[in-house]
Amino acid sequence: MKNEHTDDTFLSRWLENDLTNEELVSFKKGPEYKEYQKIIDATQNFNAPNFNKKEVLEKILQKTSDKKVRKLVPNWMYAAAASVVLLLSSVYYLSGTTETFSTSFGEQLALVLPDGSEVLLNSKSSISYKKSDWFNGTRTLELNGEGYFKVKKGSRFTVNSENGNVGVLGTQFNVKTDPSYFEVLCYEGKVQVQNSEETAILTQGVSFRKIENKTSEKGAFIDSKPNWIDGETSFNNTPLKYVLTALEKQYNIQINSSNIDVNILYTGVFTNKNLNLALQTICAPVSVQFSVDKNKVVLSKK
Amino acid sequence: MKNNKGFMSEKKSVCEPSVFEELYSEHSKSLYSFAFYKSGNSAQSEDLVQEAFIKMWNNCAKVILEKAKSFLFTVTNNLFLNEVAHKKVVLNYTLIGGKESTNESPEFLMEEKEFMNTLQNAIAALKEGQREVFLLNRIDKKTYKEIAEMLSISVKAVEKRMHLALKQLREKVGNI
Repeated sequence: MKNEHTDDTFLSRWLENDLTNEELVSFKKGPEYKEYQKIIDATQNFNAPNFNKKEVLEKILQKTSDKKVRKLVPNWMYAAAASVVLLLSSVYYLSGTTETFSTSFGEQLALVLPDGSEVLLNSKSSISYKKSDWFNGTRTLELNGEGYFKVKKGSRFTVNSENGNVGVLGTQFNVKTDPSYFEVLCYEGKVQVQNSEETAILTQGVSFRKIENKTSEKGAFIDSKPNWIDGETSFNNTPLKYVLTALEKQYNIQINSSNIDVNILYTGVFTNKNLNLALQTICAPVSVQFSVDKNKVVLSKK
Repeated sequence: MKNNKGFMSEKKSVCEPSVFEELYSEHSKSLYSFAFYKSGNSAQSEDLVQEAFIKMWNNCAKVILEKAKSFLFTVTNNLFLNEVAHKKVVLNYTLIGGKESTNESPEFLMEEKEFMNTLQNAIAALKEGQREVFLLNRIDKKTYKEIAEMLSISVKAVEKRMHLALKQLREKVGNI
């Protein structure tokens, strides 16, 4: 009797009163019937979640209102428009595309943006922006990795990254963004940093850093431009793992650090021109040995 | 002069603001429930509904009116998967309605409460597909056919999910 309702829609049919009489009777005799009935009874007390129907609609209409279709356009307008479209499409093609620049391991790239601002990209980084935005005066770009920006004075200049946005009017600053590491250094003027949780204003010589889920910290520095521009990479109280990631990007190597503590804090500078020297400057102060085999580096305790 | 009802040969378009709002008033509530049973998060569910409708608006020329409903549910599902597929969903239901005063014994009430808690946890632990079918049917009183349309699956599949959901719930809470 127990196994009679094992076909795979039995309970669904029971709920819909779709069982035959015999099925129902034998089901009711079974020990499980009561328990099923109890669950179903309990769900009668469930309320549907509250939905702010009006509020959400207003938000939607707000977001779509600027795209609403203009109705009642005379048909002849379409013909006229079509010919204009043909003319304009080439212009749009040039201005509507997204420009992307990226660097590979150990490369640096200097760029001039459409407004005359300059960007220096560090290794294994990329920026992209829509040309049309820049024609309209919106200076916005996406950054992955690390870049140093010298911004021409003008309208708001925004660097978006997955960790937060940096907005300025005219200044020099450095942004470094990895999946779990976000650092902004302001070299001139004022910079506004914004992420999902907070907004911070940086003045000259002030840095902002957020690692993983820890609270963000502000710091001070005195350099007038990032070290990496001169072929060095510097760190200040940074967990070792981020130092090693930077090294990997710079030299296109794979580092095996499973045998050491990668959370110790490192302060120092390594060169971007000589791998052995760089490894020495990183490993010596933290008492770590290294061995290099082609592009693989293994770290171990001393 | 043409009247835009009646003898216009053209079909109603989703791009028509009035049609769009009609679709909203018809489907937004169940779409929200659907998102909520998936995510267990009211703010996120609101965002999902909002995004789905905005997406429909932006693609209104491509969405046929008859397909609008399944478009909305599919988009919501995909948006949800993109966002939280990697997170373990912890459902925090506010489904249980406050009971008015009763004359039950405190002991009974305690047991009742414990049973409800266990049941909620068991529902939260259901597979997403089973949970949404179960709750859409039990709470939003959707028929199997309606749910099948929402999820773009067969009625048979809905029945199977429902059966499995209930079976698993009983296995977890049955002996209380």
